[in-house]
Amino acid sequence: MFTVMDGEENAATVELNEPLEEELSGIVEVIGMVSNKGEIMASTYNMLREDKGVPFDLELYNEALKVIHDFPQHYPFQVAASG
Amino acid sequence: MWNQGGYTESGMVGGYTQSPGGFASPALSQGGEKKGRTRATQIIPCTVSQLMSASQADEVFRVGDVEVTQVTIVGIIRSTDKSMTNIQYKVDDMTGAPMDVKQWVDTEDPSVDSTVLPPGTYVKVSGNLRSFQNHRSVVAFSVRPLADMNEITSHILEVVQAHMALSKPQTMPGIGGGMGASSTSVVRQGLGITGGSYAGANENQLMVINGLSANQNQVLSLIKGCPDQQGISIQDLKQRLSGISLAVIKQAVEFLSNEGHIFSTIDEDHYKSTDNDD
Repeated sequence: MFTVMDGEENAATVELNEPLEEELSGIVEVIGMVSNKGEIMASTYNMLREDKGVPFDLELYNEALKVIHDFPQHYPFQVAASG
Repeated sequence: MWNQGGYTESGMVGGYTQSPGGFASPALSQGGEKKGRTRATQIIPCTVSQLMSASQADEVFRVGDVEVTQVTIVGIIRSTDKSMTNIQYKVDDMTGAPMDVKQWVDTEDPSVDSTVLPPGTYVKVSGNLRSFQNHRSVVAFSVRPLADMNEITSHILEVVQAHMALSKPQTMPGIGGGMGASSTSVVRQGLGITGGSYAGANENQLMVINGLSANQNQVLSLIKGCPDQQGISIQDLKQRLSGISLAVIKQAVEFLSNEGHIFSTIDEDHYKSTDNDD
């Protein structure tokens, strides 16, 4: 179990199925389901490599997420039936 | 800024220079873009869900209003499968199930990189959308690992921007410029304001937003409305636009001509609109 913070300093707890085998640091992408306690039950995660020298702008990513949620017609999260 | 990716469809072997997803928004902002003719040469940033839901008419795929053939997607490799002639990846961008991406490998050509990228790598895929027996996939001419993770953020925004700009060409200039890293709060407000207008573009919005002044728009409308082969003359324009002086009309005509909205016909005083399909 670990805690993550988003681009606006909001925190969420992430629970894993198996114990962590590696040390996690930096930006982590977690995919999972939100439980009724507001925790993320992770099915998978991956660390974003930041060894290329350019830091990942998490605040900007947060803003981008808000944008795509404002425009669901241009960023669908479901596959509609193809015509 | 962004270049318009004008590729011709030739071969699937690598060797293309990587171009960022060009979505023609600088040209579109002039309102004079020749609709329908240039779409086949554009490369459009998309999400996997858009590609899977795109409608198909003969060989043409459409996401909403936007014709898509060449696309870019950004996602993470979930699995790989290398064979003698190609590499198949499953690329996941979290909008739907991972998309099959096939990259042809030319074993004869030493300049083509045929090392398989490992699962867990974030990549940008550029290629063509294909459908085979109802199964969608992308045939890639480029699969490049991301150097900068901010490309993920950038691609997300490019997808929204491109589809928005290409859906209603008249109403979206300037928004492309607003997507700067340092002006995120401005971007949200800007999008919110014009978000309502693109749903039903009316003439008033057009006048302010498509980059032409009110006078230029009036002149352009009259020129567009003229059915004659030789076009409308400056004299006619002066007669019909009594509120605008001849000098201003001539200035407007010169501007519109330079921008490509109109062209002269029998002489320098007669003009027709380049966009006659309305």
